[in-house]
Amino acid sequence: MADFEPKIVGILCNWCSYAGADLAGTSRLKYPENIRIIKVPCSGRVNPLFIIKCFQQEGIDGVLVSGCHPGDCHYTTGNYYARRKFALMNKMLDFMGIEKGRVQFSWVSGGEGAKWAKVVEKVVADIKKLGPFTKFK
Amino acid sequence: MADKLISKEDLNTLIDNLAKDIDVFAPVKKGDMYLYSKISSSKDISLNGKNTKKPLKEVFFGQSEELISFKTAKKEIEIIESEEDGKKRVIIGSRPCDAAALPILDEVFGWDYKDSFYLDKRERTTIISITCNEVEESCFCTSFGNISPSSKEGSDLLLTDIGESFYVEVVTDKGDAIIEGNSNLFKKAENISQKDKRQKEAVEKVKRRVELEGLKEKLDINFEDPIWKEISQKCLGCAACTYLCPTCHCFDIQDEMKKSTGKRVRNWDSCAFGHFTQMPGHQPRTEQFQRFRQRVIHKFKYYVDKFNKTACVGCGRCIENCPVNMDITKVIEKIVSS
Amino acid sequence: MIEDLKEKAKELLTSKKVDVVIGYEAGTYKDYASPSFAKTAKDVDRFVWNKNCVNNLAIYITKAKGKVGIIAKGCDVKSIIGIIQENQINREDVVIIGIACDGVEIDGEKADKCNFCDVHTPKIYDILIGDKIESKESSQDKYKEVAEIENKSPEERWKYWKDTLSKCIRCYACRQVCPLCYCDKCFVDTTVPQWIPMSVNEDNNMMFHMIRAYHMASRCIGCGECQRACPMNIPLNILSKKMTKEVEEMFGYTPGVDIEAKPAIQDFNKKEDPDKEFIM
Ligand code: SF4
Ligand code: SF4
Ligand code: SF4
Ligand code: SF4
Ligand code: SF4
Ligand code: FES
Repeated sequence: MADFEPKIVGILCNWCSYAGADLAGTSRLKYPENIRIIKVPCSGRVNPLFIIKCFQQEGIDGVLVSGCHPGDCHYTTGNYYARRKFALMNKMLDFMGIEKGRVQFSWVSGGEGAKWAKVVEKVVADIKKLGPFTKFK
Repeated sequence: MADKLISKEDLNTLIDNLAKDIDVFAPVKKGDMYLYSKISSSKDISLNGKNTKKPLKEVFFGQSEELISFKTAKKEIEIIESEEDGKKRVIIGSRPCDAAALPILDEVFGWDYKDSFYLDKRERTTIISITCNEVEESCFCTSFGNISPSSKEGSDLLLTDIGESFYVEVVTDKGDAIIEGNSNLFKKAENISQKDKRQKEAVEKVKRRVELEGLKEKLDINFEDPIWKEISQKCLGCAACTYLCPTCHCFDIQDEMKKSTGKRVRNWDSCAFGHFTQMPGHQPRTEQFQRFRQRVIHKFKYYVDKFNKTACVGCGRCIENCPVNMDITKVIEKIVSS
Repeated sequence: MIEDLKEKAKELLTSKKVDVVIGYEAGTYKDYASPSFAKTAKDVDRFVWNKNCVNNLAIYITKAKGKVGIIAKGCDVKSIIGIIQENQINREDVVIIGIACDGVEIDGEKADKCNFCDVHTPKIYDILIGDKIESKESSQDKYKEVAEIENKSPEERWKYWKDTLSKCIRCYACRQVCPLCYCDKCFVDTTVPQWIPMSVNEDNNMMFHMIRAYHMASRCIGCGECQRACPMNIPLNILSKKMTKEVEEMFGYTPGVDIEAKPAIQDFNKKEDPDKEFIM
């Protein structure tokens, strides 16, 4: 599967992770091109259905959800609620038999361009290992 | 078209022979329920089990049926018609009530618009029903004059278990063709008294009954009657009763798209659902009692007005599967006596 | 008990404290009992109380108009607590006629939930029918089936659920019967966007059930109604129990216990919520 290039949807909060990704870009950091970014106002806005919907689409192999670090949410508490939702989502996906790593979560701040690049590298590497997502297709 | 006899062994041979060339559907035990399924061997079939959970309609009018599919490339759309495989099919072991539901569906699917998907499958299929060995507590087929555990309505052949063999009553040419094509397996009919006895016993086993006398006249005038609110109160608006009903036939057609491909699918729908009659900006049935009323009036009035028969065969599935024990026979009783 | 129950119900109606009392009447199929709505003292004469009173009548309180009296077993009261916690009704608008219950039956067999019941006497009530019954710690493992699935490999789990849920006909009886499923518009019914396509197939069924179970997390009180209602006998309890177990383990929250508590999904704990082990 050496030449498998996964398509990954990134669902990023506007205030931190999106800014972080932007910084990675303006700093000319190199990271894999496999990610397509959807901007949301806050990680608290991420409905688990968004993740499910991604997987219905042709050729989507993974999802990365990213928001501000705990304590830094632009709306103060959005990511604390989100964190509980993600924890449950994570358990649910696992229980249904969706491989670990298909859906990942991260906290990336506006200043962490380098972390963003690392996160994407890891997610892409993990999903390359898992291969194309053929469930729900 | 004289009656015949077929030994149980020979029936198995018949099934196995048929399954080689054509599609054979029969009740099959799956986990804790029976379902009509395509079988490849007579070993899979259960002729003595409980009534199937899902009705026979699904073999002709599947829950989700692809009508066309399409591909888009740039600005072009390519439409691909769904091809029926054209294979002949046989149903073995359908209950008489399920078979009797088919002529009811035929009216709907063949009335002004001829629904080729349904009609084509009907045309290709021979129905071999069986007199019920067991009846369910919820069965009330005998309340309808032409239906019973041994009625022939909608069937092409009717089998009755008389011990070592099945007594075979020939109902239509389609049924006769099966006998013609396998004449070595069928014997001359005998033991007609045993058949009559078994059929009479089966009919007597049906204990539930509902008096339909006067129902239609009531339904003609009681649309606004407060009784609908009262009797429907416990209904929760699921589709257990309508999806599992052998005569319910409502559907919704939707396009389901992926990036560059899509399909147009016809799905079962139900008047019990809150969004069933939803139109842009308007919902004529906003409350559950209106939806419940639709179900009853459709079956026992609208359908009667149009096709001169009721759209219920008394299979009892709606009674058995309702989570709140809504019992159509009691509903009818209440309306008649209101 | 039934005499006492009828008397209390009649009193509520004649004194106009409530507009309707929701209880049970004899059913018409097998041994079923059926929901019954009494608006007058005379209607109350239909009421029964027996082993067949398995339905959770709390489903009707969010639909009823005016003040409601409701006959409720301990498990049903848990769902009433949930409904009040989520602001779907006011505590003042419902008179809870709690019943001391030592177990109900489905088709002649003890209901699964009753094996683990910790509320033979309801947590809250306005009137109690019957003598208080103490709840003993259950010797059975409530999460046995959950653990069986957890112990499978991801591929086996996927296959198990795909096979199991492929039977679903999406009649939504499970949703309609659930007292905590009260959304005006369910996610499966929206069309813009259409989250789950209407066709019934393995994939769409899986997606529906994942989200249904997920939406029940921190709300499902384990009344088992969804599974009982399912005509296709799908073991929905396993999904609900899994979510309940996770909510208990991760957030220390048990639904249906404390009317003042915030449901886990509407709450957070800055320090203790899981984070490090799965968020980069
Ligand atoms: S199955 Fe029962 S609750 Fe569901 S719609 Fe039919 S009558 Fe109503
Ligand atoms: S209405 Fe009920 S009894 Fe009549 S045919 Fe339909 S499911 Fe059977
Ligand atoms: S309107 Fe309702 S009762 Fe009539 S066929 Fe459709 S689903 Fe069945
Ligand atoms: S009740 Fe059963 S068949 Fe109906 S939607 Fe729920 S799981 Fe599916
Ligand atoms: S999800 Fe099922 S068990 Fe849980 S509260 Fe709803 S109906 Fe009861
Ligand atoms: S604004 Fe970034 S997580 Fe809330």
